[in-house]
Amino acid sequence: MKKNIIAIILFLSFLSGAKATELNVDENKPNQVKFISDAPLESFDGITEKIDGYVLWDGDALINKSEFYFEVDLASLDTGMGLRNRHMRDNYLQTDDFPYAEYAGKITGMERIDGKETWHVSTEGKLKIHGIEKNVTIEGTVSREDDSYHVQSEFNVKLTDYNIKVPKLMFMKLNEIIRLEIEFYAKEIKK
Amino acid sequence: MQRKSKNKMKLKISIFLFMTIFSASVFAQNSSHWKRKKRIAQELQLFHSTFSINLPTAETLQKGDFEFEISHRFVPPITEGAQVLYGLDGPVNMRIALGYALSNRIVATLGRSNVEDNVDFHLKAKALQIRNKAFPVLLSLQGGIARNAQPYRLLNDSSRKYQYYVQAVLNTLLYKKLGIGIVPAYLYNSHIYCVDTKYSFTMGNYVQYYVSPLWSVLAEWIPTVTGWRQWHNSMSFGIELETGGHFFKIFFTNNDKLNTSQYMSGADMNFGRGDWRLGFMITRLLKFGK
Repeated sequence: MKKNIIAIILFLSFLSGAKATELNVDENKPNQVKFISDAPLESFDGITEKIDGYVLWDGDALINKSEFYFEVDLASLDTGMGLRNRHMRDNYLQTDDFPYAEYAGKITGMERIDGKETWHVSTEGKLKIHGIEKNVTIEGTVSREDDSYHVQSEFNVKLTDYNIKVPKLMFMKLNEIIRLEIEFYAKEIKK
Repeated sequence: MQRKSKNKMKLKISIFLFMTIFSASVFAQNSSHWKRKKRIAQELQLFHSTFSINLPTAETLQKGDFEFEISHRFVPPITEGAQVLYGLDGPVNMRIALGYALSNRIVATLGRSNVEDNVDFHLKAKALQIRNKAFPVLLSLQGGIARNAQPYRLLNDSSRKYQYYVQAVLNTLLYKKLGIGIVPAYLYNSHIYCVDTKYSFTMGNYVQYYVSPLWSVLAEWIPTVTGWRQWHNSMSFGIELETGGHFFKIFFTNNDKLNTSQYMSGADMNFGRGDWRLGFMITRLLKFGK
Protein backbone atom coordinates (compact mmCIF):
# COMPACT_ATOMS: atom_id res chain seq x y z
CA MET A 1 0.00 0.00 0.00
CA LYS A 2 2.76 2.34 1.05
CA LYS A 3 4.65 1.61 -2.18
CA ASN A 4 1.54 2.33 -4.24
CA ILE A 5 1.02 5.69 -2.56
CA ILE A 6 4.66 6.66 -3.17
CA ALA A 7 4.36 5.63 -6.81
CA ILE A 8 1.21 7.75 -7.24
CA ILE A 9 2.87 10.72 -5.55
CA LEU A 10 5.95 10.41 -7.77
CA PHE A 11 3.83 10.12 -10.91
CA LEU A 12 1.71 13.14 -10.06
CA SER A 13 4.78 15.11 -9.04
CA PHE A 14 6.19 14.40 -12.46
CA LEU A 15 2.99 15.62 -14.10
CA SER A 16 2.84 18.75 -12.02
CA GLY A 17 6.40 19.55 -12.90
CA ALA A 18 5.52 19.85 -16.59
CA LYS A 19 6.46 23.29 -17.87
CA ALA A 20 3.66 25.91 -17.91
CA THR A 21 3.90 28.48 -20.68
CA GLU A 22 2.29 31.90 -20.76
CA LEU A 23 2.15 34.49 -23.52
CA ASN A 24 1.04 38.06 -22.89
CA VAL A 25 0.11 40.66 -25.48
CA ASP A 26 3.17 42.81 -26.06
CA GLU A 27 2.02 46.42 -25.77
CA ASN A 28 5.26 47.72 -27.26
CA LYS A 29 4.50 46.15 -30.64
CA PRO A 30 2.20 47.61 -33.33
CA ASN A 31 -1.01 45.90 -32.23
CA GLN A 32 -4.22 46.89 -33.96
CA VAL A 33 -7.90 46.15 -33.73
CA LYS A 34 -9.88 47.59 -36.61
CA PHE A 35 -13.60 47.49 -37.30
CA ILE A 36 -15.00 48.29 -40.70
CA SER A 37 -18.56 49.42 -41.33
CA ASP A 38 -19.36 49.24 -45.01
CA ALA A 39 -22.76 50.89 -45.42
CA PRO A 40 -24.15 51.83 -48.88
CA LEU A 41 -23.49 55.57 -48.60
CA GLU A 42 -20.72 55.77 -46.09
CA SER A 43 -17.92 53.47 -45.05
CA PHE A 44 -15.75 54.14 -42.09
CA ASP A 45 -13.52 52.28 -39.74
CA GLY A 46 -12.41 52.52 -36.15
CA ILE A 47 -8.98 51.64 -34.89
CA THR A 48 -7.39 51.04 -31.51
CA GLU A 49 -4.13 49.57 -30.32
CA LYS A 50 -5.59 48.84 -26.89
CA ILE A 51 -5.81 45.06 -27.04
CA ASP A 52 -4.47 43.08 -24.11
CA GLY A 53 -4.63 39.58 -22.67
CA TYR A 54 -2.87 36.27 -22.31
CA VAL A 55 -2.63 32.65 -23.47
CA LEU A 56 -1.40 29.94 -21.17
CA TRP A 57 -1.02 26.19 -21.31
CA ASP A 58 0.77 23.32 -19.60
CA GLY A 59 3.28 21.08 -21.27
CA ASP A 60 3.46 20.70 -25.02
CA ALA A 61 -0.14 20.03 -25.87
CA LEU A 62 -2.17 23.17 -26.60
CA ILE A 63 -5.28 21.62 -28.06
CA ASN A 64 -8.09 21.76 -25.54
CA LYS A 65 -5.58 22.29 -22.73
CA SER A 66 -4.99 25.95 -23.20
CA GLU A 67 -6.73 28.99 -21.90
CA PHE A 68 -6.76 32.48 -23.29
CA TYR A 69 -8.33 35.81 -22.51
CA PHE A 70 -8.21 38.92 -24.67
CA GLU A 71 -9.87 42.28 -24.18
CA VAL A 72 -10.18 45.47 -26.21
CA ASP A 73 -10.73 48.86 -24.62
CA LEU A 74 -13.71 50.01 -26.67
CA ALA A 75 -13.60 53.64 -25.52
CA SER A 76 -10.23 53.97 -27.23
CA LEU A 77 -11.64 53.16 -30.69
CA ASP A 78 -10.96 56.09 -32.99
CA THR A 79 -13.07 56.55 -36.10
CA GLY A 80 -11.15 59.67 -37.07
CA MET A 81 -13.87 62.08 -35.99
CA GLY A 82 -14.46 63.21 -32.42
CA LEU A 83 -18.25 63.44 -32.57
CA ARG A 84 -18.58 60.04 -34.24
CA ASN A 85 -16.39 58.53 -31.52
CA ARG A 86 -18.65 60.04 -28.91
CA HIS A 87 -21.80 58.72 -30.57
CA MET A 88 -20.23 55.29 -30.79
CA ARG A 89 -19.18 55.31 -27.14
CA ASP A 90 -22.32 56.86 -25.65
CA ASN A 91 -25.18 55.81 -27.91
CA TYR A 92 -24.19 52.39 -29.21
CA LEU A 93 -21.40 50.65 -27.29
CA GLN A 94 -22.21 52.43 -24.00
CA THR A 95 -18.63 52.12 -22.88
CA ASP A 96 -19.25 53.61 -19.43
CA ASP A 97 -21.21 50.47 -18.61
CA PHE A 98 -19.43 48.01 -20.92
CA PRO A 99 -15.87 49.23 -21.33
CA TYR A 100 -14.36 46.08 -22.86
CA ALA A 101 -14.99 43.59 -25.63
CA GLU A 102 -13.74 40.29 -24.20
CA TYR A 103 -12.94 36.92 -25.70
CA ALA A 104 -12.11 33.99 -23.44
CA GLY A 105 -11.77 30.37 -24.48
CA LYS A 106 -9.41 27.64 -25.60
CA ILE A 107 -7.44 26.61 -28.65
CA THR A 108 -9.19 23.75 -30.44
CA GLY A 109 -6.95 23.23 -33.46
CA MET A 110 -3.49 24.02 -34.77
CA GLU A 111 -2.13 23.20 -38.18
CA ARG A 112 1.30 24.14 -39.39
CA ILE A 113 1.35 25.86 -42.78
CA ASP A 114 3.87 24.54 -45.33
CA GLY A 115 6.66 23.87 -42.90
CA LYS A 116 6.90 27.55 -41.99
CA GLU A 117 6.85 28.94 -38.50
CA THR A 118 3.19 29.74 -39.07
CA TRP A 119 0.13 27.92 -37.82
CA HIS A 120 -3.53 28.07 -38.69
CA VAL A 121 -5.28 28.18 -35.34
CA SER A 122 -8.90 27.52 -34.39
CA THR A 123 -10.40 28.70 -31.14
CA GLU A 124 -13.66 28.34 -29.30
CA GLY A 125 -14.90 30.58 -26.55
CA LYS A 126 -17.23 33.25 -25.35
CA LEU A 127 -17.21 36.66 -26.97
CA LYS A 128 -18.66 39.34 -24.72
CA ILE A 129 -19.61 42.72 -26.13
CA HIS A 130 -22.05 45.24 -24.69
CA GLY A 131 -22.70 42.89 -21.77
CA ILE A 132 -23.93 40.06 -24.03
CA GLU A 133 -22.03 36.76 -24.20
CA LYS A 134 -22.09 34.53 -27.25
CA ASN A 135 -20.35 31.23 -27.98
CA VAL A 136 -18.19 31.72 -31.03
CA THR A 137 -15.52 30.00 -33.10
CA ILE A 138 -12.76 32.25 -34.36
CA GLU A 139 -9.89 31.29 -36.61
CA GLY A 140 -6.63 33.00 -37.35
CA THR A 141 -2.93 32.56 -37.95
CA VAL A 142 -0.01 32.64 -35.57
CA SER A 143 3.52 33.25 -36.83
CA ARG A 144 6.71 33.05 -34.89
CA GLU A 145 8.69 36.28 -35.39
CA ASP A 146 11.94 36.44 -33.41
CA ASP A 147 10.90 36.25 -29.78
CA SER A 148 7.23 37.09 -30.43
CA TYR A 149 4.15 35.42 -31.84
CA HIS A 150 2.27 37.48 -34.41
CA VAL A 151 -1.46 36.77 -34.26
CA GLN A 152 -3.86 37.77 -37.06
CA SER A 153 -7.57 37.17 -37.41
CA GLU A 154 -10.58 38.47 -39.31
CA PHE A 155 -14.23 37.79 -38.56
CA ASN A 156 -17.67 39.39 -38.66
CA VAL A 157 -19.83 40.51 -35.77
CA LYS A 158 -23.55 41.12 -36.08
CA LEU A 159 -24.32 44.10 -33.88
CA THR A 160 -27.89 43.07 -33.09
CA ASP A 161 -26.59 39.78 -31.66
CA TYR A 162 -25.03 41.88 -28.94
CA ASN A 163 -28.03 44.10 -28.40
CA ILE A 164 -26.32 47.06 -30.08
CA LYS A 165 -28.77 49.36 -31.82
CA VAL A 166 -28.16 50.03 -35.48
CA PRO A 167 -29.16 53.61 -36.30
CA LYS A 168 -31.78 53.73 -39.00
CA LEU A 169 -32.25 57.48 -39.23
CA MET A 170 -30.86 59.52 -42.04
CA PHE A 171 -27.26 60.67 -41.79
CA MET A 172 -26.37 57.75 -39.56
CA LYS A 173 -24.99 55.07 -41.77
CA LEU A 174 -23.80 51.94 -40.08
CA ASN A 175 -23.81 48.38 -41.35
CA GLU A 176 -25.40 45.80 -39.09
CA ILE A 177 -22.49 43.47 -39.87
CA ILE A 178 -19.16 44.83 -38.71
CA ARG A 179 -15.93 43.38 -40.04
CA LEU A 180 -13.21 43.00 -37.46
CA GLU A 181 -9.53 42.80 -38.38
CA ILE A 182 -7.25 42.02 -35.49
CA GLU A 183 -3.52 41.67 -35.26
CA PHE A 184 -1.29 41.71 -32.24
CA TYR A 185 1.97 40.37 -30.90
CA ALA A 186 2.39 38.17 -27.85
CA LYS A 187 5.59 37.33 -26.07
CA GLU A 188 6.48 34.56 -23.68
CA ILE A 189 6.57 35.45 -20.02
CA LYS A 190 9.65 34.18 -18.22
CA LYS A 191 8.55 32.85 -14.84
CA MET B 1 -10.30 -2.29 15.11
CA GLN B 2 -6.96 -0.51 15.42
CA ARG B 3 -5.94 -1.74 11.95
CA LYS B 4 -9.18 -0.44 10.46
CA SER B 5 -8.52 2.97 11.98
CA LYS B 6 -4.94 2.93 10.57
CA ASN B 7 -6.26 2.13 7.08
CA LYS B 8 -8.74 4.98 7.32
CA MET B 9 -5.94 7.35 8.28
CA LYS B 10 -3.80 6.13 5.34
CA LEU B 11 -6.71 6.66 2.98
CA LYS B 12 -7.24 10.23 4.27
CA ILE B 13 -3.53 11.01 3.85
CA SER B 14 -3.58 9.56 0.33
CA ILE B 15 -6.63 11.64 -0.64
CA PHE B 16 -5.05 14.75 0.83
CA LEU B 17 -1.75 14.20 -1.01
CA PHE B 18 -3.54 13.33 -4.22
CA MET B 19 -5.68 16.45 -4.12
CA THR B 20 -2.79 18.72 -3.19
CA ILE B 21 -0.57 17.50 -6.01
CA PHE B 22 -3.29 17.11 -8.57
CA SER B 23 -4.71 20.56 -7.91
CA ALA B 24 -1.30 22.01 -8.73
CA SER B 25 -1.23 20.20 -12.04
CA VAL B 26 -4.74 21.20 -13.11
CA PHE B 27 -4.70 24.18 -15.42
CA ALA B 28 -4.99 27.44 -13.57
CA GLN B 29 -8.16 29.33 -14.51
CA ASN B 30 -6.43 32.69 -14.76
CA SER B 31 -3.00 34.03 -15.43
CA SER B 32 -1.04 34.84 -12.31
CA HIS B 33 1.12 37.24 -14.33
CA TRP B 34 -1.25 39.21 -16.53
CA LYS B 35 -3.03 42.16 -15.02
CA ARG B 36 -5.48 44.59 -16.61
CA LYS B 37 -3.79 47.89 -17.46
CA LYS B 38 -5.12 51.22 -16.33
CA ARG B 39 -7.36 52.78 -18.98
CA ILE B 40 -6.40 56.08 -20.54
CA ALA B 41 -9.08 58.67 -19.79
CA GLN B 42 -10.78 60.18 -22.83
CA GLU B 43 -11.29 63.92 -23.14
CA LEU B 44 -14.18 65.02 -20.95
CA GLN B 45 -17.14 65.86 -23.17
CA LEU B 46 -20.30 67.40 -21.75
CA PHE B 47 -22.32 69.39 -24.27
CA HIS B 48 -22.63 67.66 -27.62
CA SER B 49 -22.13 70.71 -29.83
CA THR B 50 -19.42 73.37 -29.70
CA PHE B 51 -22.15 76.04 -29.56
CA SER B 52 -25.26 76.80 -27.60
CA ILE B 53 -27.18 79.26 -29.83
CA ASN B 54 -24.86 82.25 -29.99
CA LEU B 55 -22.55 81.43 -27.13
CA PRO B 56 -19.82 78.81 -27.30
CA THR B 57 -19.85 75.68 -25.17
CA ALA B 58 -16.61 74.46 -23.61
CA GLU B 59 -16.36 71.63 -26.15
CA THR B 60 -13.56 71.50 -28.64
CA LEU B 61 -13.00 69.10 -31.55
CA GLN B 62 -10.72 66.14 -32.13
CA LYS B 63 -7.34 67.09 -33.52
CA GLY B 64 -7.55 67.50 -37.29
CA ASP B 65 -11.36 67.92 -37.37
CA PHE B 66 -12.83 70.80 -39.35
CA GLU B 67 -16.18 72.32 -38.44
CA PHE B 68 -18.09 74.30 -41.02
CA GLU B 69 -20.86 76.60 -39.80
CA ILE B 70 -23.60 78.45 -41.59
CA SER B 71 -26.09 80.49 -39.60
CA HIS B 72 -28.98 82.81 -40.44
CA ARG B 73 -31.05 85.34 -38.55
CA PHE B 74 -34.18 86.39 -40.37
CA VAL B 75 -34.42 90.09 -39.56
CA PRO B 76 -38.24 90.66 -39.56
CA PRO B 77 -39.86 89.27 -36.41
CA ILE B 78 -42.48 86.54 -36.66
CA THR B 79 -45.05 89.10 -35.46
CA GLU B 80 -44.99 90.67 -38.93
CA GLY B 81 -46.98 87.63 -39.98
CA ALA B 82 -47.69 85.75 -43.16
CA GLN B 83 -47.07 88.78 -45.34
CA VAL B 84 -43.33 88.36 -44.82
CA LEU B 85 -43.69 84.63 -44.24
CA TYR B 86 -42.92 85.15 -40.55
CA GLY B 87 -39.57 86.66 -41.41
CA LEU B 88 -38.42 84.03 -43.89
CA ASP B 89 -38.75 86.52 -46.77
CA GLY B 90 -35.75 88.28 -45.29
CA PRO B 91 -33.61 90.25 -45.25
CA VAL B 92 -31.20 87.85 -43.64
CA ASN B 93 -28.11 88.32 -41.54
CA MET B 94 -25.77 85.40 -41.95
CA ARG B 95 -22.48 83.99 -40.80
CA ILE B 96 -20.22 81.40 -42.31
CA ALA B 97 -17.25 80.04 -40.42
CA LEU B 98 -14.67 77.32 -40.47
CA GLY B 99 -13.05 75.90 -37.36
CA TYR B 100 -10.02 73.67 -37.20
CA ALA B 101 -8.80 71.65 -34.24
CA LEU B 102 -5.09 72.31 -33.74
CA SER B 103 -5.12 69.71 -30.97
CA ASN B 104 -7.74 67.80 -29.00
CA ARG B 105 -8.07 70.88 -26.80
CA ILE B 106 -7.57 73.89 -29.06
CA VAL B 107 -9.79 75.07 -31.91
CA ALA B 108 -9.11 78.03 -34.19
CA THR B 109 -12.11 79.52 -36.00
CA LEU B 110 -12.38 82.08 -38.76
CA GLY B 111 -15.83 83.47 -39.48
CA ARG B 112 -17.55 86.20 -41.42
CA SER B 113 -20.88 87.92 -41.03
CA ASN B 114 -22.53 90.06 -43.69
CA VAL B 115 -23.32 92.65 -41.01
CA GLU B 116 -20.65 95.30 -41.60
CA ASP B 117 -18.58 92.51 -43.13
CA ASN B 118 -17.46 91.58 -39.66
CA VAL B 119 -14.67 89.00 -39.88
CA ASP B 120 -13.63 87.36 -36.64
CA PHE B 121 -10.92 85.00 -35.59
CA HIS B 122 -10.82 83.27 -32.24
CA LEU B 123 -9.07 80.53 -30.38
CA LYS B 124 -10.83 78.30 -27.89
CA ALA B 125 -8.86 76.12 -25.50
CA LYS B 126 -9.90 73.66 -22.82
CA ALA B 127 -8.38 74.84 -19.56
CA LEU B 128 -9.84 72.57 -16.89
CA GLN B 129 -11.56 69.19 -16.77
CA ILE B 130 -13.07 67.85 -13.54
CA ARG B 131 -14.25 64.28 -14.00
CA ASN B 132 -16.73 64.15 -11.19
CA LYS B 133 -19.52 61.68 -11.98
CA ALA B 134 -22.28 63.72 -10.36
CA PHE B 135 -20.98 67.18 -11.19
CA PRO B 136 -18.46 67.16 -14.04
CA VAL B 137 -16.97 70.51 -14.94
CA LEU B 138 -15.34 71.72 -18.09
CA LEU B 139 -13.78 75.16 -18.42
CA SER B 140 -12.62 76.63 -21.70
CA LEU B 141 -11.28 80.04 -22.56
CA GLN B 142 -11.97 81.77 -25.82
CA GLY B 143 -10.35 84.94 -27.07
CA GLY B 144 -10.67 86.66 -30.39
CA ILE B 145 -10.46 89.68 -32.60
CA ALA B 146 -13.01 91.02 -35.05
CA ARG B 147 -12.55 93.44 -37.91
CA ASN B 148 -15.50 95.32 -39.37
CA ALA B 149 -14.25 95.42 -42.91
CA GLN B 150 -17.05 97.56 -44.34
CA PRO B 151 -18.78 99.63 -41.65
CA TYR B 152 -22.09 101.19 -42.74
CA ARG B 153 -20.85 104.59 -41.62
CA LEU B 154 -17.49 106.27 -41.96
CA LEU B 155 -15.09 105.93 -39.06
CA ASN B 156 -12.68 108.74 -38.24
CA ASP B 157 -10.25 106.33 -36.67
CA SER B 158 -9.66 103.14 -38.63
CA SER B 159 -8.47 101.37 -35.50
CA ARG B 160 -12.11 101.47 -34.34
CA LYS B 161 -12.84 98.83 -36.92
CA TYR B 162 -11.28 96.34 -34.56
CA GLN B 163 -13.02 94.72 -31.61
CA TYR B 164 -11.55 92.32 -29.05
CA TYR B 165 -13.23 89.81 -26.78
CA VAL B 166 -12.54 87.11 -24.21
CA GLN B 167 -14.97 84.54 -22.85
CA ALA B 168 -14.64 82.05 -20.02
CA VAL B 169 -16.94 79.10 -20.70
CA LEU B 170 -17.93 77.03 -17.71
CA ASN B 171 -20.04 73.92 -18.40
CA THR B 172 -21.53 71.05 -16.49
CA LEU B 173 -23.81 68.17 -17.50
CA LEU B 174 -26.10 66.67 -14.88
CA TYR B 175 -27.39 63.10 -15.24
CA LYS B 176 -25.99 63.16 -18.80
CA LYS B 177 -29.15 65.06 -19.73
CA LEU B 178 -29.13 68.61 -18.42
CA GLY B 179 -26.32 70.84 -19.63
CA ILE B 180 -25.73 74.17 -17.92
CA GLY B 181 -23.32 76.84 -19.12
CA ILE B 182 -22.12 80.17 -17.72
CA VAL B 183 -20.08 82.49 -19.93
CA PRO B 184 -18.67 85.63 -18.36
CA ALA B 185 -17.27 87.71 -21.19
CA TYR B 186 -15.62 91.03 -21.92
CA LEU B 187 -15.90 92.93 -25.20
CA TYR B 188 -13.70 95.90 -26.03
CA ASN B 189 -15.02 98.53 -28.47
CA SER B 190 -18.57 97.22 -28.32
CA HIS B 191 -19.99 100.07 -30.41
CA ILE B 192 -17.68 101.05 -33.22
CA TYR B 193 -19.52 104.34 -33.94
CA CYS B 194 -19.54 105.80 -30.43
CA VAL B 195 -17.21 108.73 -29.95
CA ASP B 196 -15.72 107.15 -26.85
CA THR B 197 -14.59 103.57 -27.01
CA LYS B 198 -17.13 101.41 -25.24
CA TYR B 199 -16.82 98.07 -23.54
CA SER B 200 -19.34 95.46 -22.42
CA PHE B 201 -19.19 92.90 -19.68
CA THR B 202 -21.80 90.18 -20.09
CA MET B 203 -22.74 87.13 -18.07
CA GLY B 204 -24.14 84.77 -20.66
CA ASN B 205 -25.78 81.54 -19.59
CA TYR B 206 -27.65 78.70 -21.18
CA VAL B 207 -29.33 75.40 -20.47
CA GLN B 208 -29.84 72.45 -22.76
CA TYR B 209 -31.87 69.33 -22.07
CA TYR B 210 -31.05 66.24 -24.13
CA VAL B 211 -34.38 64.56 -24.72
CA SER B 212 -32.82 61.73 -26.75
CA PRO B 213 -29.54 61.09 -28.58
CA LEU B 214 -31.15 62.95 -31.49
CA TRP B 215 -33.14 65.80 -29.99
CA SER B 216 -32.58 68.46 -27.39
CA VAL B 217 -34.14 71.75 -26.34
CA LEU B 218 -32.08 74.77 -25.36
CA ALA B 219 -32.36 78.33 -24.13
CA GLU B 220 -29.81 81.11 -23.84
CA TRP B 221 -29.74 84.50 -22.08
CA ILE B 222 -26.95 87.05 -22.35
CA PRO B 223 -27.48 89.87 -19.84
CA THR B 224 -25.11 92.83 -19.95
CA VAL B 225 -23.79 93.29 -16.44
CA THR B 226 -22.02 96.55 -17.05
CA GLY B 227 -20.89 98.69 -19.96
CA TRP B 228 -22.57 99.44 -23.27
CA ARG B 229 -25.62 97.55 -24.48
CA GLN B 230 -28.13 97.94 -27.24
CA TRP B 231 -31.72 98.24 -26.08
CA HIS B 232 -32.22 94.73 -24.73
CA ASN B 233 -30.44 91.69 -23.37
CA SER B 234 -30.15 88.89 -25.89
CA MET B 235 -32.51 85.93 -25.41
CA SER B 236 -33.05 82.84 -27.52
CA PHE B 237 -34.67 79.42 -27.29
CA GLY B 238 -35.07 76.52 -29.68
CA ILE B 239 -34.35 72.93 -30.56
CA GLU B 240 -31.28 71.04 -31.68
CA LEU B 241 -31.16 68.00 -33.94
CA GLU B 242 -27.96 65.99 -33.78
CA THR B 243 -26.98 63.49 -36.43
CA GLY B 244 -23.81 61.70 -37.53
CA GLY B 245 -21.70 64.79 -38.17
CA HIS B 246 -24.26 67.60 -38.18
CA PHE B 247 -26.00 69.81 -35.68
CA PHE B 248 -29.15 71.62 -36.79
CA LYS B 249 -30.46 74.32 -34.47
CA ILE B 250 -33.69 76.19 -35.09
CA PHE B 251 -34.66 78.89 -32.63
CA PHE B 252 -36.38 82.16 -31.84
CA THR B 253 -34.28 85.12 -30.79
CA ASN B 254 -34.54 88.86 -30.28
CA ASN B 255 -30.96 89.32 -31.52
CA ASP B 256 -30.27 89.74 -35.22
CA LYS B 257 -26.47 89.56 -34.93
CA LEU B 258 -24.27 86.50 -35.23
CA ASN B 259 -20.59 87.28 -34.78
CA THR B 260 -19.30 87.33 -31.20
CA SER B 261 -18.38 91.02 -31.13
CA GLN B 262 -21.84 91.84 -32.43
CA TYR B 263 -24.26 89.61 -30.49
CA MET B 264 -22.42 90.45 -27.25
CA SER B 265 -23.43 94.08 -27.53
CA GLY B 266 -27.11 93.26 -27.02
CA ALA B 267 -30.33 92.85 -28.96
CA ASP B 268 -32.49 95.35 -30.80
CA MET B 269 -35.90 93.88 -29.98
CA ASN B 270 -37.93 93.27 -26.86
CA PHE B 271 -38.13 89.54 -26.23
CA GLY B 272 -40.78 89.94 -23.54
CA ARG B 273 -43.10 91.64 -26.01
CA GLY B 274 -42.89 88.68 -28.36
CA ASP B 275 -40.57 90.32 -30.88
CA TRP B 276 -38.92 87.07 -31.83
CA ARG B 277 -37.22 86.36 -35.08
CA LEU B 278 -36.37 82.99 -36.56
CA GLY B 279 -32.81 81.78 -36.78
CA PHE B 280 -30.92 78.64 -37.53
CA MET B 281 -27.43 77.24 -37.33
CA ILE B 282 -26.05 74.26 -39.18
CA THR B 283 -22.63 72.85 -38.36
CA ARG B 284 -20.95 70.02 -40.21
CA LEU B 285 -17.86 68.18 -39.07
CA LEU B 286 -15.37 67.37 -41.76
CA LYS B 287 -12.27 65.27 -41.79
CA PHE B 288 -9.98 65.23 -44.75
CA GLY B 289 -7.72 62.32 -45.46
CA LYS B 290 -9.82 59.70 -43.66
